[in-house]
Amino acid sequence: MEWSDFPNYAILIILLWTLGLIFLGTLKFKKSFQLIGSSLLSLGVTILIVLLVNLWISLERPPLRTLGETRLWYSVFLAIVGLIFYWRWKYYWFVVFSFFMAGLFLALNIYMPENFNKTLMPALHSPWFVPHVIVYIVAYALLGASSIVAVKQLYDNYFGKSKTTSSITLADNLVYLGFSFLTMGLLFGALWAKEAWGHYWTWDPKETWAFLTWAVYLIYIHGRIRNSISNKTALWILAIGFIVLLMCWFGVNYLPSAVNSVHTYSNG
Amino acid sequence: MIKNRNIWERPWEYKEGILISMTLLILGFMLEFVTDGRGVIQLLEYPSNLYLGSGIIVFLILISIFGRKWAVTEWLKSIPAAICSIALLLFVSLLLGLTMQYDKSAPEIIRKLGLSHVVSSWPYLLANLFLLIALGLTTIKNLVSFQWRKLGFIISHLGLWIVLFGANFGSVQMQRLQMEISEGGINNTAIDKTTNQVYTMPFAIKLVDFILDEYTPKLALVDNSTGKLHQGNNIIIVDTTQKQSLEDWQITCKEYIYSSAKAGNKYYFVNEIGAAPSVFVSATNDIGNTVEGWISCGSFNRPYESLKLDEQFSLVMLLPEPKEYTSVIEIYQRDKDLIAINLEVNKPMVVGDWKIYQLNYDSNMGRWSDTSVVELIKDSWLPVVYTGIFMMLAGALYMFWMGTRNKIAVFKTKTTERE
Repeated sequence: MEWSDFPNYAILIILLWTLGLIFLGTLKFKKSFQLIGSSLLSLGVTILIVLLVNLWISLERPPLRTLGETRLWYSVFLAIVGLIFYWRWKYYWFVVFSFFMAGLFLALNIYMPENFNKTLMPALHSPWFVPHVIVYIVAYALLGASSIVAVKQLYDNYFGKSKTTSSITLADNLVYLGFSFLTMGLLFGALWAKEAWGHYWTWDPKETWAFLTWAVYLIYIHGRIRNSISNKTALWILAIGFIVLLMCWFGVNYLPSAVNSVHTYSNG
Repeated sequence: MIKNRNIWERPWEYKEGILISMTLLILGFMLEFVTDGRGVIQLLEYPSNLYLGSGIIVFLILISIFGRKWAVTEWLKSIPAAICSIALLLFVSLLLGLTMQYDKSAPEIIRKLGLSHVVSSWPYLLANLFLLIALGLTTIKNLVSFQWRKLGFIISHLGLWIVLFGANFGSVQMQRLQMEISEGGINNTAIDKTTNQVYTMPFAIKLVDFILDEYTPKLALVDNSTGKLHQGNNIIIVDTTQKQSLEDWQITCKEYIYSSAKAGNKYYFVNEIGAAPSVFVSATNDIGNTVEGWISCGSFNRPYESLKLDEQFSLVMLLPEPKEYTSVIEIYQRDKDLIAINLEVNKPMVVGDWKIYQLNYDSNMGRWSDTSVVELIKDSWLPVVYTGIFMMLAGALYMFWMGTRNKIAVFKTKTTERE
């Protein structure tokens, strides 16, 4: 598996996923088709993981530096979250959306190929590098999934048939898990920053947006206690939260203040 | 939510919360404006940070004892107050996230409102105080009525309170100094770059050797008309084992010399100060034109050499990027043994109250640099903040554990409290 063949593999994975979803969806009443659907989805995920491992080996460093590289991990984790939550709660639309998003991020990498080069600046040579980024990507996958739930539910409420907000419990579960990972990622980052740059918090633009993301989900969690805020408000917070999250992940690089950021590694 | 309740009638909820948050925000901007945008730096400097910090602790304890029946205290311990205080800090941080900080060219009004220095402005301080008080009162209440099932709640909330407290009132006492040492030289003075004040350290550092390890250099296309790096598919790493492509050009690196000098029109291996990497490349484009020649990125004492491919592009070598840099140092302290270590980025060294970091080197000289810049940091509040961070980590693990079980204990706790 050569990295230069990435577009071909990405297309293969997307095809496998599409087929898998069709099996799961249109023929969902037959158990054997369920199995085929799940297997096709899992096969796609496995190929993607093998690709990532190969990339890691060929780059001689963890492929976690550029935005393009983090998108690949995001696809993997979002797909895994989709599968696990589907097996557990059987929400078909959820598995469709999470694989759709995973596929979208994969496709982004076909159209925006990055220079996958081996260089890694000295500040990134640290045992914190892998846990910090992986924990964050897992958090992003879970919270991204929660926003899928929120948007679907809001759409149903405004335009669709359903007036209930029952799937908010699913969103809750995703947010609790996602938030615990988000907190760990944030604090690992603080501990690492102390070792690398001498201070645990400097309000670097990336840090500022990481705090904003954290605060939005903190509001959601508190608002959900005894339905302190209405379900609709809670769902809107999740939808907006994901925009703040994306801003933190990608958007920060385009802010004027990013020129001073210690977190822009892609333009090297 | 209780319906048909007049504003300021107990129990206060979101209406009151929004008014309180807005008032604090406007008050913050007004205070900033009337003090001519000087911010709150003086208020947080040592020792006033200690007065303010202990003032808050005393205030929290007194209110918990004598004011616990007040409508405002009841409210501060409620979910609406938690949400309003987080939201206020979120809003102020959003201003921080969207504006350029310490930008000298910003209009006067931006500075006067504190938007050019958000983290030392009145609105930011008030938002933090609001959160510290709401969070503090809630934590004290749960500590007083301690139950084991509240442990996760207490650890995460107290942890966050400690982090916020330590970071807001303690980090101002942090000393951050830089020391420049030349190879073979010894230094015991360091400078604070923000004030340019020079300090004598309780130890001296000798730089025995400075070692810089570099990556293989990269090749890139330059636009002949602008002289700037071409955007897009524009960078490859020098690699003699395979053909690589840059836009329409197939690039073959035929001979690569890491340390070289030019003699005549060819480069040869030499081992002397300033010897630069060079590579002999052959470039072929889609219509079969081939260009060959030597290119080098040069160094502080050698010129660079590029290769013109066609009217549009030239091929250049970029200066190699540092992979790792290390200062071999010896630390001398009175009445103590000499410490000899290799100081690397990401691997600071603790000496007494100070932490020593590898910060920089003479980047002009690159791997020939014979100066190293180390950073010396003393942060006496670090143990406090770290205590809070580890408590929050424990809280996050607890949430991970409980979150997978569908119901978080805090929810149960909270429900029973209200009933």
